[in-house]
Amino acid sequence: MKYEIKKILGSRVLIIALILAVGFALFESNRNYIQGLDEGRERINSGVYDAYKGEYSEEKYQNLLEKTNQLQEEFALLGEKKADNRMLDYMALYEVAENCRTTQLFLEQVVDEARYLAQTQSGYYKKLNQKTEQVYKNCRPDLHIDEISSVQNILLYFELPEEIDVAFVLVLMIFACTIFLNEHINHTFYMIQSSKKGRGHTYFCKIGLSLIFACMLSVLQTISITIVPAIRSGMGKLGYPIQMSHNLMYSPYNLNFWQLVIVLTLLRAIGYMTLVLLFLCATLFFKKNIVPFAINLFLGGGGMFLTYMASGRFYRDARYGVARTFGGFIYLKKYSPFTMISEGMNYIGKFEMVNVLGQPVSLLQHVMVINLIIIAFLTVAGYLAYTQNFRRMGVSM
Amino acid sequence: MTLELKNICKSYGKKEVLKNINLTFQTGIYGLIGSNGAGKSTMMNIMADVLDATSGEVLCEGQNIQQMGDNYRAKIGFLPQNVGYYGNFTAEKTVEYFGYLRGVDKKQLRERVEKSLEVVNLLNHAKEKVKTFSGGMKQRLGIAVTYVSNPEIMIFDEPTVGLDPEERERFKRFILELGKTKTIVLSTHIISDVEEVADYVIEMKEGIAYERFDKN
Repeated sequence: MKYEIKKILGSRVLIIALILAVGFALFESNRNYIQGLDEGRERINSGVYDAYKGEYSEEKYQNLLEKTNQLQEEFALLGEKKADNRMLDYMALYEVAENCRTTQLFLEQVVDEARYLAQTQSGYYKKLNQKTEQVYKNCRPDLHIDEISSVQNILLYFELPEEIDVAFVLVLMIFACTIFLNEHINHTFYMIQSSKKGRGHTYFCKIGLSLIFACMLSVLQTISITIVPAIRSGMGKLGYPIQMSHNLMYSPYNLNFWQLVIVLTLLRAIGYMTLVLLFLCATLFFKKNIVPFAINLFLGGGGMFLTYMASGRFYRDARYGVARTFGGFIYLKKYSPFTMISEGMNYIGKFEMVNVLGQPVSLLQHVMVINLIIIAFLTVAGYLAYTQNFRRMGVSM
Repeated sequence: MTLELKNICKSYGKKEVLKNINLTFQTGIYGLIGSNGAGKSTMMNIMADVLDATSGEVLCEGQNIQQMGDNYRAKIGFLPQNVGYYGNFTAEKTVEYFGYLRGVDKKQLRERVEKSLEVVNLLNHAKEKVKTFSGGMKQRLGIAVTYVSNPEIMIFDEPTVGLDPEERERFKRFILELGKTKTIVLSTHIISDVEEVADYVIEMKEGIAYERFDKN
């Protein structure tokens, strides 16, 4: 494989594309961070903050509720000049506490409801509710009360424009158009094919390198988009449970934000692995770059665009309000690598199940398994295409 | 080592490029001559198992080479026409890479690489990148790449193109030495290149092979 790596490093187009993608991600990440940054108004009064910061409890919530109501009444009666000037501090902390409470109540409610439905239903729906109860019972997020701006700023790690995914998918396309076609471009194809290790062995080296590259690309993307907020905000709050963010309040997964970054990177890596093999299969039938690149652009660009539209983000970004998903989106979430690349949060944010032969399987597990099967299938199909005779028929495309 | 072409035909659509070729290659040097488009390269590509014949088969020691697969390709060294290289590789790395591909043992690889470069007078340029090489140097590098695995059958398609007279002579001496123990097939449209070295000369004309000369 070291020779394949050396060949790839000879592709200036790929190296430049990679540098541009990383640079673009850093730029967009920084711009997004500056635009979205909540400086937290003024810092919360330390006396108030110290009394309530730390692990959430119902007692703290009730205290904050009582205090906030009291100060709001006081403000209404006395006006701004005479009222307690800590009202906003209490309100900020109360907002966070209320979110924590909503999450806790939701988790309890889901468990109770699932337990009840499991007793009253049968067949698949009984199993579905049993599984739901089990998953949510095990979900015990370690909720904390903190300054709301600190929590909201964590989301700046994750809420990034679609264009960054597009840039990295383009890098993947260029990689795919290089790794098999460089033999034709450099006129080494026949020498390699006439060698003992020039077929199966070479093919698997290239596939191995492609899968490793896809994973590395995902890690590189994660680093590119998180390094700016990490440097500017610090990483101390990443230990909080993901349920502390609005988008993930109803998530059944016991993850903190660190772990969320890792899971999203892993999901994206699997998506990239599927995509790179799909792109590679397009290149196996050609001897020049142009046609396979055009095909991959259609596949990759089309897939990204379809996902963007179906997920409803287009609707939100066009300033119509919130995202509104389209009916077919669930099928993309079940089978497509594109949703794993750009909609990872969607899988983590809620608990969705798929009926697989009468058994409830989590959507997240389902899409990962499907993509791994697609990877295996494309590897075998590509092997047959690479080693079969028709590649050596001398047809030029 | 016996290489046999039995009833080999090759067509591209309606155009017949090879017509019922029946040839046997054993130890010695076989010169393949003919004008452009005669079918020399097509026949060599079929012998090297990088092109499929429309009909017929190629046998190595009685076995079909496609069924032999990797085992056959371990026995051959093939230098195609208009070969290229990876510009960012050095000469040494290029020969090493193809040595590895052709199954040279890791322990012997370094030694084989040095020997191959020495034979073609490129040892002093071993650390230079191939993109800096002239056409003649690249051709010599191709010969080194073909030789590195010390194959039993060596197939050269127009190996002397781009070589200066001195290097041509060196190549002829090299081939003469190899031809004592190996099966060498080399094609050219320059008759003088095979006159001095070939034990057998085969002329290709419009897809048909004519055995023109047998030293014995």
